[in-house]
Amino acid sequence: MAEGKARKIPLFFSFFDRLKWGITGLAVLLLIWWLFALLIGPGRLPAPLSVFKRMIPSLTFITELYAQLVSAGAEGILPHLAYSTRSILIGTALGATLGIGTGLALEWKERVKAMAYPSLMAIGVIPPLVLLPFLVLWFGAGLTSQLALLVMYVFFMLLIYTMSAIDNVPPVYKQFSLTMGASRGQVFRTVVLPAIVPELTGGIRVVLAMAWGLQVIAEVVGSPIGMGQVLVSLVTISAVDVVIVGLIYIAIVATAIDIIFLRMSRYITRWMPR
Amino acid sequence: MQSDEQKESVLGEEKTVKIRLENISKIFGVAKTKLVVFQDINAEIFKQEFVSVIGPSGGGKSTLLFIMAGLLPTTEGRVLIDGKEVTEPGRDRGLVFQQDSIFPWRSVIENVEYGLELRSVSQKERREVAMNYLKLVNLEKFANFWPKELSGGMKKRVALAMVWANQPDVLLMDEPFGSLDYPTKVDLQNKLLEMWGRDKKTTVFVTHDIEEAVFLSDRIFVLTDGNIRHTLKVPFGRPRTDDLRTDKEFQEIRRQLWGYTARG
Amino acid sequence: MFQFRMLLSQVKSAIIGIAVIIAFWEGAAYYLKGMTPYAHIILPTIEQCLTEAIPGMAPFFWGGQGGLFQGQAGANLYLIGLLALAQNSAITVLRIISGLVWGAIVGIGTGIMMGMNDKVRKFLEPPIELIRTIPLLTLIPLFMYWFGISEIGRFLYIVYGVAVVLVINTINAIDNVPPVYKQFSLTMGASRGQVFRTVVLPAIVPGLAGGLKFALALSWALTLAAEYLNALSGLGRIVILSEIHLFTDRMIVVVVLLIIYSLVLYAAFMRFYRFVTRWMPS
Repeated sequence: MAEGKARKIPLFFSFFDRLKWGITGLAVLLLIWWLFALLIGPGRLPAPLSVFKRMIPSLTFITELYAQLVSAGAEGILPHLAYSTRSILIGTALGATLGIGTGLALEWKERVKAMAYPSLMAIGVIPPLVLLPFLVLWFGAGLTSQLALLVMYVFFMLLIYTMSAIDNVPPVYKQFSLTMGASRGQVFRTVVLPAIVPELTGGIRVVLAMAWGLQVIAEVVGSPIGMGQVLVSLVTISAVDVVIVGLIYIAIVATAIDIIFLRMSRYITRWMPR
Repeated sequence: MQSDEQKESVLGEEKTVKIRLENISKIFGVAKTKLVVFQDINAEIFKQEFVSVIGPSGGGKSTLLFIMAGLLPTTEGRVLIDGKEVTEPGRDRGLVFQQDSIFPWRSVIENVEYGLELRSVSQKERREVAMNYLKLVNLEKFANFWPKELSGGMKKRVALAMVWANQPDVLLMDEPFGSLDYPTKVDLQNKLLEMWGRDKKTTVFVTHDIEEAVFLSDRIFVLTDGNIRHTLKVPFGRPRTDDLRTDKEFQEIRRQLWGYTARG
Repeated sequence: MFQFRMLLSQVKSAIIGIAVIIAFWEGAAYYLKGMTPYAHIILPTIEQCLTEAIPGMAPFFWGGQGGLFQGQAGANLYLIGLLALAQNSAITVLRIISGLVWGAIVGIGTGIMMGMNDKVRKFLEPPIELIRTIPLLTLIPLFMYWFGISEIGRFLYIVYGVAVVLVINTINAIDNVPPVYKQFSLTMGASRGQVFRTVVLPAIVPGLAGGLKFALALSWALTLAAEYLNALSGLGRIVILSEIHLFTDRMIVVVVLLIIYSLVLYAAFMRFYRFVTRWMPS
């Protein structure tokens, strides 16, 4: 605890710091893991070493699942990982475009917004997972329902984020631009749009995090390939170490996407005082 | 466009009325919960005149200014500029805000260009004009900086350049130097008078700082108790220099105005 | 007086919103009826939901399979159906709340321990940040493997999910306490422990409450997911089984209940939140 000095907790401000923390964290995690593995036994929690031995090979070939996975045209984790990642990116991009676009459009027509707002709020309360069975029922257990879940979730989240961001634009900017002679359209284009970018990128980042979970669950229900299927199949045959391999890969990809997106959005909002 | 009213000043010169406030009232709410900001304000501001509005905080000075800018409607009465009624904001009435209003997502030079950009002036011409105005406020070296990298005083100077570059007819200023420290304030007041001296735009300047009002203006309106209860003509000639601030007559006028406003 | 008017207008817009949705629904349902014999599967009418669906859920009482009871409307069956709904509702809501509460105890407790002791923090923070990168819902298969279809597995899963979120939230809140308050108390003679107890702990309460709001939504999602995939009771299970047998009307009844419960929980939470943050300047 700080002793009268404003001590700053160094959460990722330079690359080397981040590296240091990452490595320490990894070490500690491995230690805890190894201890637990000893306690619980390899059947339930495989030792870190055995998991790591399987990491690279699993990308292309998983012995246990050969029979099952080859029917889907894939023998290892890599194609499934790629599929899930692609689905997430496409679904998020689509949902985001629709959500932000609708938010902006609603803002333009005040009356439509006032009418739609209560209905939107009523629908928005529904947790996305609740929708999943309906989607499966209506569209069958296939790719459509799987994509639809993610797109709908992203759509609603970003619609709400957009409307909230527009409300949060400090009035002084809009007033100022009006006194500079801007028309309503110009105020929208030159003030509202740039001002909401920071909040929107924050929202997309949050949504990306949830997207993985939704995608995996949706895959379990409705897709022959993808990490969801892989994990579930592995569990049925008790190949725990490969399950953990799969989870680690998911974590790596999810973090990579997050970091890339964070960099991008930091650049776009480089004008913000932090 | 000529105003159709002429007034004779005490010295026999003809003066045109630029801004006329006719029976202006601003009331918020209804019945028991109503808040009368001001009522039945009548005033005239002449062309090329620099008028300050002073009064206690919360007395409605900013509200009056926003009404003149067209950002707020009157409850009663109207504002006439050159004989035409004010109904909405526009380029002819530039407003320098109290808060930071320059856009943080645009660089300094892009901000100063803003008004020109709105009118689709070509990129080359915009840049040229904007740089000239930046030079006027001594910030040409900071053209490509982000607002976040500037101090409060510098941001205000950008705002001044920005509004000036838009060539408004009338200049409205809402306690623009209120958040600055004294030396920066003095600096900016001098800069303002320097810029104002070039084209002498009709200016309405709202402030709670009496010294500032006396230093800058031709006339001072005192807004207390919901109306303009006193007007005072500032007797000093132009250009005005800093030693005026410690002049005896200057202090007398300050004391007098302090007496007017303290009653609110 | 003003607050009451605001509440009234919010309720009014909510009712309008719901009315619009219901109108669309009924319209679409009746339109479909004219078009296809499968209409009652795609979009059942409200009437159908209320009359057929509920007795159909009678077998869910005490964990039945919810088999193919259809069209057998009788007073007892209706009542049993309602009881089945009530019982499963209680189970689900109980899971959500207990998961939230224990997750909060673990998460906030760990966070506070990490806040009090630097060594603990340096030791625990990096692994927690790493574990965090694994998306929560993807861990379900793993938990299923470890615990099978047991209540404890579901419970631990929800507690884990909530705890991870709340630890990070607590740490952030502790970090964001404005230094001036700590400095002030030190100059008033407080010891380190006193500073922590009398300054940091009260100061982080609003931040924690905010985190709890998120954790509530999370607990909902996790409970439902867990119930979908492997549960022997609860509303999530009813939804999935009904979906398999194409009983859309039952699904809708359950979903409406879920929405109502989440609104109630959310409203109750907001009261708690407002009480807890009553000293904050807005």
